[in-house]
Amino acid sequence: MQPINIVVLVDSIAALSKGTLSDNVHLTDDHSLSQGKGTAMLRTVCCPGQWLRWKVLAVDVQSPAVIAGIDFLPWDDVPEASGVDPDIDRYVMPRWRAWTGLVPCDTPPGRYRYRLALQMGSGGQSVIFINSPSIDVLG
Amino acid sequence: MARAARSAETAAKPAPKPMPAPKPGSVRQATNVMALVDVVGALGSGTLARSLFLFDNNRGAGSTGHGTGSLSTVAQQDDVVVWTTMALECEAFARLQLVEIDSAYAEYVALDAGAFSETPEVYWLATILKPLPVDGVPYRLSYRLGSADVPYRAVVESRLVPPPVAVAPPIPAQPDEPALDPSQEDAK
Amino acid sequence: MGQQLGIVVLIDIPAAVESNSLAGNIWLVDNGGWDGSTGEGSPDLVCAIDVTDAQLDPGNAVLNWIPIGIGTIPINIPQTFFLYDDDRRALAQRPLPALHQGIFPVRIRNLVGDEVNIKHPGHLLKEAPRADPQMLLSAQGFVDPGTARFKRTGESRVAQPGDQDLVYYPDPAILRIHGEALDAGVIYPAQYGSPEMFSRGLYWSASVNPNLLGLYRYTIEIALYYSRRDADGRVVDDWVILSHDAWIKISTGAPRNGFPAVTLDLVSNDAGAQGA
Repeated sequence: MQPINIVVLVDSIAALSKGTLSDNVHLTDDHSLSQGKGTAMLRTVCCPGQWLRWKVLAVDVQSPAVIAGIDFLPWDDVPEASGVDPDIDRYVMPRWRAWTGLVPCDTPPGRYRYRLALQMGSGGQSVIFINSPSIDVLG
Repeated sequence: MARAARSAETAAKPAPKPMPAPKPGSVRQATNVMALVDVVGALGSGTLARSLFLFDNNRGAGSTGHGTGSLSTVAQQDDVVVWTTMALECEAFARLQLVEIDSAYAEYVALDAGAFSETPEVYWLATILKPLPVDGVPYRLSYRLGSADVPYRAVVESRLVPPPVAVAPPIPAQPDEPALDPSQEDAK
Repeated sequence: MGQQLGIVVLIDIPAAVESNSLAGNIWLVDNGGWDGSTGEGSPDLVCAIDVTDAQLDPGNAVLNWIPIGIGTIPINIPQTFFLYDDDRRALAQRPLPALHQGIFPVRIRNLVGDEVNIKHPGHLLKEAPRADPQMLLSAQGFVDPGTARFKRTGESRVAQPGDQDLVYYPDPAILRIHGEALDAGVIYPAQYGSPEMFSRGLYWSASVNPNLLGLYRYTIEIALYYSRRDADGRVVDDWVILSHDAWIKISTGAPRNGFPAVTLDLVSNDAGAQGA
């Protein structure tokens, strides 16, 4: 199976100005069946046992953007939200992280949302999260 | 990218004619206070502390604090001080919103603001009306950054100050000492 | 490719020209403060470049140098700002009027087929923009400069009573980057042309070799331009070339996968071949 590449495109300055990633982040991937490409509500279609690879790009060439964390939400009814991440100390050197994950082979089919946190610069308001993107695991 | 040597002539008159011997006079000066704003740093930390760098082109006359958030710019009567802005990141937006001077100092400076013609670049301009007080005129800068809704205000104030006093006053002779020879006095 | 690093080089041109040295008259700021650069706002800038992600994400770090003279026109202002009034009108006009009298009709068509009335072109400015004499930084056309301020007394050799000292200093230009960092093969600078309408469209950029770690020095040679009046009262342009040293520091960290249960051999980028 081919690995799936997921690209996160972020307008760092707009995100930092407004304190939210809604309307400022656009995700897309290279699987033909994925829904919501180019929006924050990307649903990446994948299979158990497949590799997923996240990468972030900032729209402005001189603005920083690094993925601070990707955490799959334990249940599905968490309201969709985006804002400044209050607890940034738990992200240790996000600069040094690669985000390549394997969908476990025993994953039941379904939609799994994840909380994507991006760090743009440094400071108390530099990490912003959004929890609307998801992966769609096929049976 | 070296330019051609002194043959480049920029005078408006086609035929140069010798100017009359000029009279030296005191020079009124336009001083530029340039602010370099780290927009991402300010937005990420929520403050302009450590993200505002101020510079002016009057260090020769005694301005201090270049490269920090608090600048003391030397200005004299009839001088003009012009504030301009540059964002550190080439695609970031930063605009000087306000130069905040307390009304107690209204007699010293006349403030004006405008934009370079046909551009959205904003400048603020202060004309110095009379010699500045010894402690200077403090001011605070506020900026609109990125698409943030609220302006960001500098955390420390900067000042317009009078020129530093150059010559130390002569030391008076003590009663039991001979009077000092003028050449032995401290001079700056 | 990650964030490009921009290094702004600020120079107090009158003071540097007068003392023939950049010491004390130059400051550097970069946008890598969040990543560990030190010396921001001082002459001793150390650009920190973390190349950990060069292993994960092919593409070299890029440095850009932007020289700025304090007191020059802000760089966001386009170069058309500097035109004389009649040059500005000429730009606003459409094609050149025909030189032949009476053979061609007064109304002609331009290249795209629009009718143009040569005698009364519709695109002229209705009134000439007025230059504000107070606002010396808004020079409409090349305002005739006074003498460069070479004397600390502040006296000008050519002064009209009541005038401000109108001295024009264009933005400085970086001529060359050399030094230890280049000799060691750490950075590869080159001068590029840009459609940006400042610095005459030229800027210096360098890519960074991520395989050499350490602290390296480089030297920038900068030309400072100024205008002055000579003994006959003519305005002449002159320049002086000064140099300044700065540093870059290249370091790498410990690459890890963000998903803790996965161990990944990051030397090879081929994730599909690895196992958990």
